[in-house]
Amino acid sequence: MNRAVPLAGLLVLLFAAALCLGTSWVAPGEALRLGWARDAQDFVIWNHRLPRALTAAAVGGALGMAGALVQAVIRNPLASPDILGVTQGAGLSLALGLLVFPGLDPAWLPVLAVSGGAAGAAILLACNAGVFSPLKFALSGIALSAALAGATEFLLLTHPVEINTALLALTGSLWASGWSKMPLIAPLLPLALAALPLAKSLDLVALGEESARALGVRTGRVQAAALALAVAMTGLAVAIAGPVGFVGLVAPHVARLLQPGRMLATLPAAAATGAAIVLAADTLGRAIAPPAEIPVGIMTAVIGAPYFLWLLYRMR
Amino acid sequence: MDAALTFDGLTLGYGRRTVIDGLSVSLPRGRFTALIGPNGCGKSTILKALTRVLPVAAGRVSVEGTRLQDLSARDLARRISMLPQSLAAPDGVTVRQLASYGRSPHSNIWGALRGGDRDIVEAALRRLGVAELGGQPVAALSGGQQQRAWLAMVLAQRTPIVLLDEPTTYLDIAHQVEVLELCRELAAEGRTVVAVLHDLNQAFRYADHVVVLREGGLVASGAPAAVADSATLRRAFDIDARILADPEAGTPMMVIRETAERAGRSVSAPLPCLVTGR
Repeated sequence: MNRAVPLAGLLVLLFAAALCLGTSWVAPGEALRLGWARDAQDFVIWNHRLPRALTAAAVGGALGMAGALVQAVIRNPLASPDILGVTQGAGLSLALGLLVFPGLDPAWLPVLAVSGGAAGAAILLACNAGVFSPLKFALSGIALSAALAGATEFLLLTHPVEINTALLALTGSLWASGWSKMPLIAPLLPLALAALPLAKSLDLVALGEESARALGVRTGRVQAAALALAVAMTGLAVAIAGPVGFVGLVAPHVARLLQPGRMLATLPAAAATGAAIVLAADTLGRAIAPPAEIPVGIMTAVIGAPYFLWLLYRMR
Repeated sequence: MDAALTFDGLTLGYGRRTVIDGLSVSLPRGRFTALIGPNGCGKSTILKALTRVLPVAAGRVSVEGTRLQDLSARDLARRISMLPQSLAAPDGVTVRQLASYGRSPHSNIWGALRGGDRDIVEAALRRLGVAELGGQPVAALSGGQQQRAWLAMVLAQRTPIVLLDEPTTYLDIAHQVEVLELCRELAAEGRTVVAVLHDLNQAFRYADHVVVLREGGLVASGAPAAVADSATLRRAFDIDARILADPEAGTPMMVIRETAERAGRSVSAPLPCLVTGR
């Protein structure tokens, strides 16, 4: 557990940086004071950077933990929530809502995203009814995700007028993350805590079906519970920030390097790493060329894609 | 016979393909039983049913007098431990950690080990001679050492019944003998050991009880001296074998008979390449 200390320290530093950096520099002491003051007239720290940093940490933590759960269930380190059909399902339903029904009340968008994500996962589970094979699950998830992404592209191309609002929601951005999004963020904490009692069983699942069963694990139930939690967390994350790629893939790897072995340590470490990645990506995206912003989904892709390639290269 | 495991009309299969069809046999308690038979005859399938990896399609299985379906997953894991055929330890898992997983059926929901559990894990590591490797990742060890680390996990589970699926297949002969001796020791301690073996002579020499299977059906079940005969081996494996007495242990020993055509070729017929003169 000694390696948890630097990770927590890094998280605090990044959180402080997220408050201080941006279009205007705010000194750390001043940022702390403004955050504590909870002044409704403060449009830099209290109404903008603090909720945005909290949102970034929550989204990153959810994606990191969902990734660790998915990789444990599928027993493949290259799996991630991005291939569950959840991210693309949520994206497609958002695109549908924004493009086909442009007059839709924005309050419905989170509902659309979560139900679209759940629908994507439901299609994937229906394709995998019967005997659970991790390989078939992963491959059909990739195919489903590609099909859903293709449908989203089609909608974008056939609706050139409304494309800008839709692109904003589909790139993965924390722009305009105020306190109003907190009701979506709050359920992430109980979901994450609910995953921890699965840690022991997931350690045994990693030994293979036969050993896990012989050690008393009801493998089917554990895998279903872990996947359901991962789907819920990913769906909520997409509803909050749009699809933010590569975090669910990269964070569990870093977590395993920091906390190898037991899932009880790996799961929180993956959440912390995911939070750190999204916080860093969003802060960088805001600080590189103010007042313009680089969406966090693009930043995580820029950081995550080379890491993914390196991972593939190293695995051979 | 005091039976640890009893199968009554057991039928098992994958989907529509039936592998075991109406098997009825009992395995003695506190003895080392070897399951032998040709590839695909369902030896491993029986072990999979005992750990509920595969559902029982029909028939009854009784574990120490209790019906298999009446045991919870945890209760079953406290009675039966199993070493699977293919072993793959996840990255980063150390030998000691792997062995400690054997205590899972006895530990709480967080998997925390109590003092007694730690003693059992250390004892299992010492018994298999891997205590000094405890801190090393399993994946970095040699095949024989990995096997012993997994066996330490199985021993740490401390179950009255131990199943081993082809425990000798990927080992060199010295390690094979070690594993077979371990099976004998466990049986001597009163545990029921059931192992799938491929080497018939090892089964006859080391096991107390041998079950011979063929294509889902039982061919013979009994002490090695009772089942090892030419007719049984022909029925099970389609081989023509002679049974001799093992010169060391006096147990049955199987050797393949020289066929007339093979005997003729090796003595008189020249090799084809010599005939063509190349």
